[in-house]
Amino acid sequence: MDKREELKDIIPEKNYNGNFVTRARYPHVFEEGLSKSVVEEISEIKKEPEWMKRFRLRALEIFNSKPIPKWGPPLDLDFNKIRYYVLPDEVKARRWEDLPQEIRETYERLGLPEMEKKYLSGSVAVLDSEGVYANIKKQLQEKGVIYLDTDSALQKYPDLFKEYFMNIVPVGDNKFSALNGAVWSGGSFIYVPENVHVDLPLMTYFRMNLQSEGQFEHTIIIAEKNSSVSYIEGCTAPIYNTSSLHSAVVEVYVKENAKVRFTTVQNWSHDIYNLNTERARVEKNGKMEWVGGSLGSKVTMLYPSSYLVGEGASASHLTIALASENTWKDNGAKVLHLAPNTSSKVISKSISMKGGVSVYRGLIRIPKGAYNAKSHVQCDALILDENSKNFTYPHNEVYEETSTLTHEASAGKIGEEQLFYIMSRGLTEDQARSMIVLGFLDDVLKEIPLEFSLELNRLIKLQLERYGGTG
Amino acid sequence: MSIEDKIINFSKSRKEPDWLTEIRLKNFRKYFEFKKSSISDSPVEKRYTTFEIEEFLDNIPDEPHSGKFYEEKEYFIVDFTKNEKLNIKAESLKYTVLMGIREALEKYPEIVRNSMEDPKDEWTALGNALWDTGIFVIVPENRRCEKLMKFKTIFPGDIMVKKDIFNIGNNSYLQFVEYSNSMEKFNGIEETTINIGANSNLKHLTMIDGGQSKMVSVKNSHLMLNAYDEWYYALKNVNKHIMLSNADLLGDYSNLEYKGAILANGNEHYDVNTNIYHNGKNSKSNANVRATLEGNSRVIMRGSIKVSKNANNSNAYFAGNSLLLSENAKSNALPFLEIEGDRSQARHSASVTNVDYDQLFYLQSRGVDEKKAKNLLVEGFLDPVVRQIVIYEGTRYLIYD
Amino acid sequence: MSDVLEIVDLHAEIEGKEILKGINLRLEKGELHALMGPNGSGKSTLAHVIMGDKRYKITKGAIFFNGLDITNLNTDERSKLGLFLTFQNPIELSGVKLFTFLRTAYSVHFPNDNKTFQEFITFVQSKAKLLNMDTSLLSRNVNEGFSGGEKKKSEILQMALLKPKFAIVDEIDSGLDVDALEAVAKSLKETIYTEPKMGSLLITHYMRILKYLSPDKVHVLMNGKIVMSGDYGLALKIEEKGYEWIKEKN
Repeated sequence: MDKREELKDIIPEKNYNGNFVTRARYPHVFEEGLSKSVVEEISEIKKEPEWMKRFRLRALEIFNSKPIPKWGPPLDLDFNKIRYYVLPDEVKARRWEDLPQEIRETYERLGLPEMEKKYLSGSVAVLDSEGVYANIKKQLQEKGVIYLDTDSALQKYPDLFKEYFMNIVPVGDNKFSALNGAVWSGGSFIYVPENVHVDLPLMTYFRMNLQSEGQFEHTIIIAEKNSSVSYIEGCTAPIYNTSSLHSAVVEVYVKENAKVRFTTVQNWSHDIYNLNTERARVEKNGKMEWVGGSLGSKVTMLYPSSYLVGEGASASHLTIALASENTWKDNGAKVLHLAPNTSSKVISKSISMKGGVSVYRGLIRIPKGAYNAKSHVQCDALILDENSKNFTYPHNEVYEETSTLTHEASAGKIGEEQLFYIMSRGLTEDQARSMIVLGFLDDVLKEIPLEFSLELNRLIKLQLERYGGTG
Repeated sequence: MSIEDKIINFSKSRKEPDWLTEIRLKNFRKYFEFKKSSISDSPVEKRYTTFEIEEFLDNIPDEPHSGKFYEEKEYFIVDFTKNEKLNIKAESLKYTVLMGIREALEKYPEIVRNSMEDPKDEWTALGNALWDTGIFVIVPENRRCEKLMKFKTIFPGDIMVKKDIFNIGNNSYLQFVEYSNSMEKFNGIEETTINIGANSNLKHLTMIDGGQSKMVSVKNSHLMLNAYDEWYYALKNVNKHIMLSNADLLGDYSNLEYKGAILANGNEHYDVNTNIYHNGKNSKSNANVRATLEGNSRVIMRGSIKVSKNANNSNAYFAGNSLLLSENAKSNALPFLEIEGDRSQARHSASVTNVDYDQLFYLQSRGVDEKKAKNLLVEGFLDPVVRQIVIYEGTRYLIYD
Repeated sequence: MSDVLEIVDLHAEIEGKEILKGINLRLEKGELHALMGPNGSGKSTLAHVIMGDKRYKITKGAIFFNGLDITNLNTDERSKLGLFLTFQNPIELSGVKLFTFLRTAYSVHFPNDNKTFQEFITFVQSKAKLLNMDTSLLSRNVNEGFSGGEKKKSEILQMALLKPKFAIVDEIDSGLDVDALEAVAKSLKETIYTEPKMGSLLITHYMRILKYLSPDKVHVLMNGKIVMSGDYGLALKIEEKGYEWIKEKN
């Protein structure tokens, strides 16, 4: 029997509807705008080592020298109308009780402390620019697992940090990775030593609270030989009328025989530009799994990448993207097969409704020498009304004779006969519609950890209910 | 002198009417606009060109590109290597009009002009800006084509830009085959505009044997109500080939079926792009391009299906398949979909595979040697797209060794 | 008062083409009527129109359920009143598990029934076993990859769970071999005769399923109209002579 059906009854509803404001103390809220002195000030507030300050300034130069991408969604974004650093409170708590009341209530409302107790090995909370809470189960800590907000990791483990920071994602990779290099703040830092398996997921909750805010977290995950870890991030923000910018960099290092699963449930409000660079380097027989549920934001550009550098490495990319009113979802996947016997699987499911635009943009490259590499890409789109659009732009490059690549895509509508069949069993048109949509997403939903897939189920239903009964 | 001035001089030297000079310039400007990025571009995609615009403009002959036209057996032969004024007189045709495009410019200026109004891509725009010669065919209304027309075109050993127009009236039917051979140094653009009237039917085969030349082939089809466009093509021996087919399904119930085969070898490089625009209701398209790659060859297979909001209930399918036969072959597949609205279905698929070892082994265990076995598998792979060509040509064109 | 489904002078068309040309039919609780007719006579259209398929347009006439005019009701509202249609070609729902589908439909029909997850599993499994149905189908996608017989059994299972007042059974015998037909017919009989008895309209092209079910009345539909009604004897006569003699008579 489908486990999810059973759990539906027992698991209480959590809250990914983050449309409320936290009244925190805010000792530092920068004016809008970006300059050398803004970058220097961020570094000084954080009391960073000199090398990091110089790194940030160099990144700023690279950012300024790179043009806004000409391809992809329209980026109507004024970099001078963003606050580059917002400190909610000078607190780094390890227990929820130690957080100031307002902040604690925020996370209680979002259900994080309860989730941590029941389903997680640890959690980190990043509010605006800074991590305010981090905790990990004691036995994992004793085994040497590190789970901290990224700024604390720079202070406590400077050597480890320096080795992996902006390594697989070079600072000049693209305009937004350069921006992140200049103004990064917050994020999660995870280190799992050899042979350690983190059984329950780690979860970081990113929240933006103010208007015209920028959040530039930098997340680094290192899974040493034969280790495994599953990481989940959730994202919400209250709704404002001005544009905010969330531009993260995620670097994942999967060593020999290790396994990392990276899950994102993103429900940003509809004024947020969500422009991220996420990349994993996967060594011999390592496994990288990207799972994404992308529900909110105004514009999302997100193409998680897997560089399969070791023989037998594999990657799977599973994405759900829902583009609703005034939303442009530019999602995709990028896999480079850089070693023999590597394999990859990409499944992307997009839904466009109420005039939303969903895009799949992907790259699979199998260069010469990647003997017997295998890749399968499947992207399906469902368009729910006449004003919505779907674009599919896959790029498949094969230079190795012994490899195999297959690609399938479809775009279509909800079948009338399916609606009629379900309604003949007593379900309303809305219920029938959401049943079909969830069925369409099932290939990906069933891969998401149970509690979160149910949560995603609810969120999608909610979006479809708001949609009303027309079609 | 600016390129635009050169185009004006070129047009003047041909004593062209002012509107034509104007529309050439307009197309040239559009060419540059198209070269700019669009939302479908991604940072990984590289564009390349094989055509040297300035070189072409600096070496324009005084007379429009010459060529010899004659009928031989069942063939219409257009030989651009011969230095004679292109003077087309097809004795064997009764209803169908066949003439050179410069002649059509005087007799059917509207049709020529319409074909240049709205280029959909950079190569059509450039072809419109620079064409110097070409053929022109009209099938009048209510005519089933009287015979299977067979064209043989021989391209010259230098630069040439050619524009052909096939205009098929309502309720008509045309069937033609074209063979193109070219000289090694040929470097040119050939653009064909095909208008298929309501309830009309076109079936055509294109076979290009490129003599290691560089060329850009563009086909622009416009399908009206209930029109049917059936096209089979096979390409080989082209050193650098941009093969672009744009099909505009304007009419309700219009239908297209494209099947293409590419036999890539040596250092050849094919960039094959199939763009299908669904605008009519209940329109249907089914396209399949298959490539076999040997030597150091490279094939970029692009396919783009665009379904507009008005194209209710239309159905589109594109498949691109490559078979890698050598260790240095390279294949790219870029099958795009752009769908607006919730009334249609579109699918695409792409695959890059190699010869299956088990199949090879199986055949060899039955006594077939490796080379023959490979050929059999290649034949099997190409079969879905070359069946029609085989019907007309036997396997003569498709030599697999 | 006894339940009545009544169809009065029903005309319906699809894409401008008239399919039903004035149907009159009255079905009471506990009755079993057979509706026979050659291919293309409009049998399935009638079934879909009774259930409210919006692809068909009703141009004239009405459908009454216990005196209530349901001609313009939505499909789901008709279902909740107690109408049920078994589909001739049950629709595949990819990604939707049969169990989830049954549970959702059941909860809509019986909102006050508080079966827990486990209780509902037991409940459905016991019903499925009665129908000799493989319970592993419950965790598969609705109708996806089901055999012909499995699809039909899943339709009957849905009917057994939702306990409609009237069932329209559309060619449940199509595409089944002799053994499967017998099994389906038995399950169907059991389901419609379980108290409280349903009223059922059994649409069929052939005689063979009627042998298991012995209908109270037999109607013949031709070219969008009921051209003849009678008892079981009429069905026997059709088996013997085909539909031609009726055509000649009209």
